[in-house]
Amino acid sequence: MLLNLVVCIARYLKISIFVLGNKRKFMNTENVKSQMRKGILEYCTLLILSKRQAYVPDIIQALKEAKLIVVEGTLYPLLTRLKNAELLTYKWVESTQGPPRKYYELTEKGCLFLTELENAWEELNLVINHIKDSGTPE
Amino acid sequence: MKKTTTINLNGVVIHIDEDAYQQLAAYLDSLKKHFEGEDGAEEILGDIESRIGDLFKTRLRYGIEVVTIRDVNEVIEIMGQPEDFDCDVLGRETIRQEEPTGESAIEEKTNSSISSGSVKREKNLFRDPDNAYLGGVASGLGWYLGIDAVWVRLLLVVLTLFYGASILVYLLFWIIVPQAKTTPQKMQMKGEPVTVDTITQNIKKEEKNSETALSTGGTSVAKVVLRIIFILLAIVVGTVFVVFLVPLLLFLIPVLFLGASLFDFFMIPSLGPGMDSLLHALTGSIPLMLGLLFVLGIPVCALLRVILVNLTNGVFSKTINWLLVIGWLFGLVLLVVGSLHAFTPFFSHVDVFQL
Repeated sequence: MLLNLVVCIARYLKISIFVLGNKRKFMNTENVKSQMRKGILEYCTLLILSKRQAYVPDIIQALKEAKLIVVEGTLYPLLTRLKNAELLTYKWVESTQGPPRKYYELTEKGCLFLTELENAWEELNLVINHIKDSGTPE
Repeated sequence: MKKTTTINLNGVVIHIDEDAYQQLAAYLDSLKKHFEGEDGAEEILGDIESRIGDLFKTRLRYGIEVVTIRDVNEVIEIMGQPEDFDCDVLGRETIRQEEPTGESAIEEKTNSSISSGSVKREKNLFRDPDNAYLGGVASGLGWYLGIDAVWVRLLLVVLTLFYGASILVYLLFWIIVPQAKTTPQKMQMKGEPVTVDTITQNIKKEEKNSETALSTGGTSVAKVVLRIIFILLAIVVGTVFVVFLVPLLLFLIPVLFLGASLFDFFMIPSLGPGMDSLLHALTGSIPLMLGLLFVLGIPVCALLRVILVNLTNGVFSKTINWLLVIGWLFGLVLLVVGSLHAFTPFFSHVDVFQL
């Protein structure tokens, strides 16, 4: 019985160390990077549409080139959400082949929202630069 | 030759192979489930459908008229699995909190297509044969409760101090709870999502484990020693049970047939009128005695069976497990009903006297 207990405790310690080791592994750079990308995806989408009106494939193309999204499916719920928040609107434009397509553009509200986001982005930039420039603490 | 169907993807007409159609339908279904309950889910699905239609159209140039399963797979790759959407986007109202614990964290790390929230996890109680000291009950319970098996084992050890209660509990679990034999069962036991990806992954892991186990000489000596200790313990406890319970059972059987006349048969002296009538009422009730026989007898049989099966490395038959459990419960019901029946006139008699 005593032997059993000792073995159990040893196993428990081993498992605890294992779990702790893996938690550290879980918090890796890829994860942080993808979190950052997630954070600016909406801002970037609005930014693309602020320059010109666009079809969805155009937006996807731009975001893919910027390596902001990997799969296209990501964008559709995002666009619908932005549209429901009245930041975007679309009109149906007929195409040479196939059914009419959605042609997205920024609304007035979306423009205001974008300016706010731009300010926030500037602020973040300032914060990071400030920390970078403030030198290393002793 | 292949059969084709015609589908309408949000206004785009497409000819598609049957197998490709099945694949696409399954994919769209998974998307539908993913967006269920979200604002504008239909619109999102419509957009995605028309995009898929467009992608097919570009593939159907140069005289090719039918979409094949290869096209469908390529398009699905472009659109992405619903699990990947969450990885890309943060803005959803319901951001799923990922709380990686222990081994599931590695699982999620090594296979990015699985996010904890989107796959429904079901945890089932199984006995864990891989980390078993005896029957794998403690380890299985540990998985189920989300705690380390060592706590369950400690609790069981502590509970033995209370008249060996945990031994009975353990045996009951051993009899009732099925062993996790297949890989999906083992994953359910651990509460991991059961998908094709995770299953293959787990099978690979198991192969690796068995390789390392072979290279280190199979099961460790400590494990074998512990197993022997447990078996010896079971035999000792079992013997005690048998020594005390079997005579009692042997006594109960004549009681069943003789009933109240037992007292005359054994020439038991009178214990006073009140006590006598109580004993007569009790021994005279066949359901009560039968229930007692079942309730005491079945654990003895089960215990003997566990010891025998374990010693011979046999397999527990599920049917017999259930028969034993049902029989025991039946005995319990008989015991309760019988004692109520037997005691009622006695107590009402007392009540009448007191009133």
